[in-house]
Amino acid sequence: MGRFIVRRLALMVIALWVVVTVTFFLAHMIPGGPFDREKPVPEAIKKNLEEKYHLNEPMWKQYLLYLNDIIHGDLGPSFKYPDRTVNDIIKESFPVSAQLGFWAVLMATFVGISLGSVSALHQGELIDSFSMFFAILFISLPSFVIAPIFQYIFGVKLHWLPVANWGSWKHMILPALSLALGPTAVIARLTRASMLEVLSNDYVKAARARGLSGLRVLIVYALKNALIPVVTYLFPLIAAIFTGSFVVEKIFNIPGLGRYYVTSIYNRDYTVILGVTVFYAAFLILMNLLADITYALLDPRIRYE
Amino acid sequence: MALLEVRNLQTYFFTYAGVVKAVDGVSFSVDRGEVLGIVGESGSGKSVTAMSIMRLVQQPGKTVGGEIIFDGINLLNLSDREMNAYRGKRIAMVFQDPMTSLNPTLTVGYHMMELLSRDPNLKTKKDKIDRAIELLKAVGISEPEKRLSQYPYQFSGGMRQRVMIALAIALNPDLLIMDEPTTALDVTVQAQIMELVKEIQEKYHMAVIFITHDLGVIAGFADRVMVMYAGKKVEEGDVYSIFENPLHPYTQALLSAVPKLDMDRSQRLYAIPGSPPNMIAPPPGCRFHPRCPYAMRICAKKIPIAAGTDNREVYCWKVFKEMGVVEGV
Repeated sequence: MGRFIVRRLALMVIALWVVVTVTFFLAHMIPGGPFDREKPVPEAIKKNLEEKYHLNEPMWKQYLLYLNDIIHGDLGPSFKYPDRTVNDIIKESFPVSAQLGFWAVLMATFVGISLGSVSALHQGELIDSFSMFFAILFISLPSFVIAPIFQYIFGVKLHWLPVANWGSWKHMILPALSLALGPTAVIARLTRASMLEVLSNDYVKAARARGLSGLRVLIVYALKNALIPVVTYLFPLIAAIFTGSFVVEKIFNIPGLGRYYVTSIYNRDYTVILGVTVFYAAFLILMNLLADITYALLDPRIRYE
Repeated sequence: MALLEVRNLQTYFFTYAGVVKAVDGVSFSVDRGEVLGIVGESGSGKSVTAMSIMRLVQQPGKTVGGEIIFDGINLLNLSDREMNAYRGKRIAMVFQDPMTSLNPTLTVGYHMMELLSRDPNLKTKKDKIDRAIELLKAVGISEPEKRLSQYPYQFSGGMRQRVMIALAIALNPDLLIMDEPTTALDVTVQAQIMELVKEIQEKYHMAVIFITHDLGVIAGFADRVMVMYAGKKVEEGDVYSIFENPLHPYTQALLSAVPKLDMDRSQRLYAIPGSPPNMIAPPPGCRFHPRCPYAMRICAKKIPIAAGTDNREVYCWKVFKEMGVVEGV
């Protein structure tokens, strides 16, 4: 296992290098540059700016300079927000997105797994039809539909919760719910399907024939073995949700990392594009590694040599 | 009084296509220390009978009628919780496929300790480990200390079935139900497991219900044999009379289908003509009559009543004509 993790971390470096390279050249291929405005910047100033950020150098040299920086942990300055580096941006906004994401993932996991298990145990009964109806509903409804509906009902009409902005825990509920509902529905369906398969196994029947209590059979025999597909979905989801959602953060005006994914591209803010992409890629790769480790914990037959 | 008395058991499956009467009015009893063999082809209702006794028939199946009197108590009247106390402790079961009967993500030791925690005599963890080791030894697993911490996938099929048997006898049940415990194993392992089962049955003097479709397996083990066909009992008697003098045409056909070592190799194995009945709309009268070489007109009209002698019960109009009705059945 130890050797497996070391090898995977080594592979991660290579994967990140590929991500950096591809993103770097793709970003620079977008027409226009960071200092193109509606009202053109005077030629001399533009030249000075480009010199300052080495944008006048040939592409291969810029690439090598960037690689050198990133190896030293420096994601470079932002072109759009000159007083902040990309490291600053991530440091400021990632905790916000991660906090929101944490509650969303927590809810999706607990509610999803519970609903899925209950549905599987009562297959075909009312509660099953009911929860699977809502699962389909929330899988089909994107967050940009759910979020405004929530804002309208709970913020505008009922005044229970703030409509938008970021501050107290009350500000977190609606965006976290909007983020969580889709994944909750997916996890519920995954758990249900996988649980039904496990429940039909002989070892579940045999465990019941040994007189083990229903709850014990459910948790130790069925749920644990049914969780592998859920884990496969859950860990990449953590990476995606923790690093922020453009849509939800935009709608609720949350100062998270999500909006930088999109705004940095239309600002041609090369370093921010690269920085957030590499950050997300690294997070995603780590989560996949964690998923693989979790598989081995759930099922002893899975061994990595 | 018998340890287990099953009276007029009816377990039906309510499928979309119709009601399958998988077990349709079967009665039998098992005494303490007695071995009852239940034989019949696939779909004859043997396993459903066993699962009905355990009260583990799964949806859409349901036991809709009859009584299962175990040690004076009708199991069908117990609450789920009360029934759970019987399972494993007083009635244990060994299933057909050892490869899938153990949870692949738990160690063999975990399976055993979990069960042994219900034994009030084993107070400390060490007591339980000692008992688990003793049980594994009893079923012929070498190096039991090491084996306890291993996972099922590290065991062969025969070894897993030994573990299943160890689990089944762990709480000294009065009745052990074995549902084709050797069918999924290869022949040499089958013989070893049968040796083990016999040894354990004699040692603990347990009542055993042994389900199989292999008459050869049952011949050297059972005291009594019940033959089932299409959800009904067709014949029951002590093992010698069933094998020496089978009376029901179906039993006779089953016995003719057993391959013999001294058989001429050019000779084809005997197979019962026709195919098993459609269980949603079984043939009227005697369910075997479309495949029976002796079928008479009455066989297609009326369900046979019990015929035979005191220790013999046959449900066949031909036998009825020859022998008359059994008293008291």
